[in-house]
Amino acid sequence: MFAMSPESNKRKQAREKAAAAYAAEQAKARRKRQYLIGGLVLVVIAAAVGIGIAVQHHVNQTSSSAANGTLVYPSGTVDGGLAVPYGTDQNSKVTLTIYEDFRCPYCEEAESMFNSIYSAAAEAGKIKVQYRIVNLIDQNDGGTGSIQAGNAAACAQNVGNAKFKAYHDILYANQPDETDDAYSSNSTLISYAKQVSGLDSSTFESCVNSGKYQPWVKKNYSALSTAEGGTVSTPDYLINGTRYELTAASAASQEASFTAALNKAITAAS
Amino acid sequence: MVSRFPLLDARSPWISLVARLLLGAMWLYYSVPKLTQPTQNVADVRDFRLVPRALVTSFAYAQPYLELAVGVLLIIGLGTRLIAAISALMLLVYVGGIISLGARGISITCGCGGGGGQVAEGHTRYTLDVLRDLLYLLPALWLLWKPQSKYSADAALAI
Repeated sequence: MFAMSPESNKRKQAREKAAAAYAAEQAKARRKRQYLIGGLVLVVIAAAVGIGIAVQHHVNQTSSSAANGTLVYPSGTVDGGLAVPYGTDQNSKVTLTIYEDFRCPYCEEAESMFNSIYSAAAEAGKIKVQYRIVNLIDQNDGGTGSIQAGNAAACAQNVGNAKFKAYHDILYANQPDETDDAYSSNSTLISYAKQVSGLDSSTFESCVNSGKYQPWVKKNYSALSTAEGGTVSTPDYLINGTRYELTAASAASQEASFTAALNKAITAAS
Repeated sequence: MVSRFPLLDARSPWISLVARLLLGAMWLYYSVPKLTQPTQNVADVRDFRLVPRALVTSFAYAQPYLELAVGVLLIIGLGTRLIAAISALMLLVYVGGIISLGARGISITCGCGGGGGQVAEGHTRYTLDVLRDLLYLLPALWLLWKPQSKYSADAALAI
């Protein structure tokens, strides 16, 4: 009994066809679900990335309410009100301009090498120093320590020019790690001000707390950004407008070359 | 269809479950500290000197959220094969980043999972970091091969 009736053969074929169509239908539905889930997963991932960027935006924005206030200049500033002068002879023909950020570790490094050198020359009236305080690290790392420390230093300048230099040196001596935004605390900034005699007062504290000079710090930053063609790096030491390049050489050799560069400018001017 | 590895096939949904949970836990373990200390992560990303300066901050803020999403999706088991592929890709990018540090002679503590910063030359441990990341790659590759697992959203949705 091998032969099948043609009728049952046909029925079997129909059944197989229906089963295949059903399986194809199932596979199609399954593929559709897979695409849907894949799409959903990609949406979730895109949303996560979006949230991260939104958080970053928010951090930057909350830090800028005081910074977007009206621009006011601390008293006794020079060069259009943006620079804080230092030195006994403000008519000296040699100008050392220092762009710096109280939160920037390389600025601290440069200060630890050059501060005593340029201070001696400025106190002797051989050069005049102009500090320009910027907020670079805030922009790089997020946070507000740069602009708040800059504001506090401007408040010190408003109390008196000698107070600025003393407070400036104390802020560098106590600089926190770059990633530790300790200078975003006004009470920390005020506690360091107590180390400068005659600086801390209720006027000074309310100046620090109001963030009144934050727009001034921002203005200096944009001035530096324009000068450097968009990419800002700190510190920037300019001797009569010519940049003194910091290198990876040892402190002793950089101190020697900085002294030589200053002396060269002093000789050329006299 | 007759399997050549009947024992493995019976167990693979369980192995895949373990792989999913391990890999998911790994992502969460590395994402949470970055979420809570974003400025640290910005500094770490910058130390690699790979991401363009203008994008460093955005990258550093988005990265932990991406890792968190990947970790959570792995643990609930949604879109397992796709997520395994993304995980493997991310791990390969990280491995490439670490190798490039060594090749470019940059000495940092890698920052992979916390505590970045400069270290003295010769005190890096890039080989260990690369080996560790390659170890994490194993569950990702397993899931690429066998994405079907026990207790997964995929299974519940009959994928």
